[in-house]
Amino acid sequence: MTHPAALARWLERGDVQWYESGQVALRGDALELYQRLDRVFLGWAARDHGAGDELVPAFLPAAALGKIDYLRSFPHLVTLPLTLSHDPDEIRRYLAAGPQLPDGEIRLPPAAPIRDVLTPAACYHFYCRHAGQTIAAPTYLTTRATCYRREARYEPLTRLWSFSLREVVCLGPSEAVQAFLEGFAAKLEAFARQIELPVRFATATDPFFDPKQNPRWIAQVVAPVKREVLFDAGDGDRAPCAIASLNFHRTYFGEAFGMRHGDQPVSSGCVGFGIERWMHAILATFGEDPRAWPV
Amino acid sequence: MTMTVTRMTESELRQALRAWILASTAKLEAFELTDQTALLETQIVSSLQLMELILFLEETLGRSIDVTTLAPGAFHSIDAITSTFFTPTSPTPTSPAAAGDTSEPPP
Repeated sequence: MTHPAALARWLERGDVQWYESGQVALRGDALELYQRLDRVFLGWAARDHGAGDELVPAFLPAAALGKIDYLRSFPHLVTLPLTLSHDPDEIRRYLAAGPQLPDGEIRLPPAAPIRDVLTPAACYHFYCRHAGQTIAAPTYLTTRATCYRREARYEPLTRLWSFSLREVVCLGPSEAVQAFLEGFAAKLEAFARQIELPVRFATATDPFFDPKQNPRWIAQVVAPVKREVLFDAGDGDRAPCAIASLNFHRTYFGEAFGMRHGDQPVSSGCVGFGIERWMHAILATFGEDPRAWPV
Repeated sequence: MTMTVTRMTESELRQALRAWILASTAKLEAFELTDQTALLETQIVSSLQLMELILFLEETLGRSIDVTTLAPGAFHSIDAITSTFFTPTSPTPTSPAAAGDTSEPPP
């Protein structure tokens, strides 16, 4: 790593504010880098694929995630928007018992039914929106969403509970989706080479709960559909982190959400960019001076 | 049930796999399935069916399969499955499933 102390300096001067819960607040140069990076990714989606930017909400319907068995596959990652019961008497009893412990922890309340999940992946919003539709021609979509994935431990920029994910999605026939993913892989490789960012591509699997018991994990092992772009700061302090991933879903979402191309379920693929992780890669490689950044 | 352990030949394993695949999918006809047909990439075998296929192989070969040691391509086709899992000494119970094209679909 060329600039091992750059993040520490940003944390010290407050450009990055660290929350122990696994979140960051950004301002100044840190926010500038975040915005510059997202402009690069959005530019690829817009210029090369004609995708217009979209804004998606924080929650996804739990019923939609049920279609892809998300809660069984990734229960350890899920964050639920828990709200109190609508019954005023229950709320009064809860308040009377003391809703909060001295250390700030909130006692589990009488809860209203939970029908939503905080967005775990930006692209899911698109499958919900196109559910039941016929996709006549390859369709390219993009959004940047705050995503929520609970983890056992967190670290600034690289492992966060809530983080920014820019995704570019292709819905269409299998050949178009595979060409889209290959095109993005080539683009990422060329970009990393051009700016001299030390990355490598590796096949990967999704982080399933109890993976050995999950046939989807086994399927991903024997027929890989996920590639990650790994940045290694080379400081031995942090493991290499995936700053982008390319995912070929085959017809998984097409079948789950009833999206069709002709008389077949539509294929889909997505490319995801973890913006805070890209910030880490740029910061570690080029330092905190904006004039030194290649973006 | 009494199980008599016999030795399965490579040809019997291929036949058993072929019968299992055809019984498990409506996506292709028998004449369309060769030993080189891609199974997972074409979703002839879905990811959920993969676990059933592994269980079928375990029963057929009479040994357990450690999924943590599986390599990419292991289930690509009947050729790949045979080359990954067949050993000339694989013991197997005599059962309809092991007898090739007379096998029944899995439950």
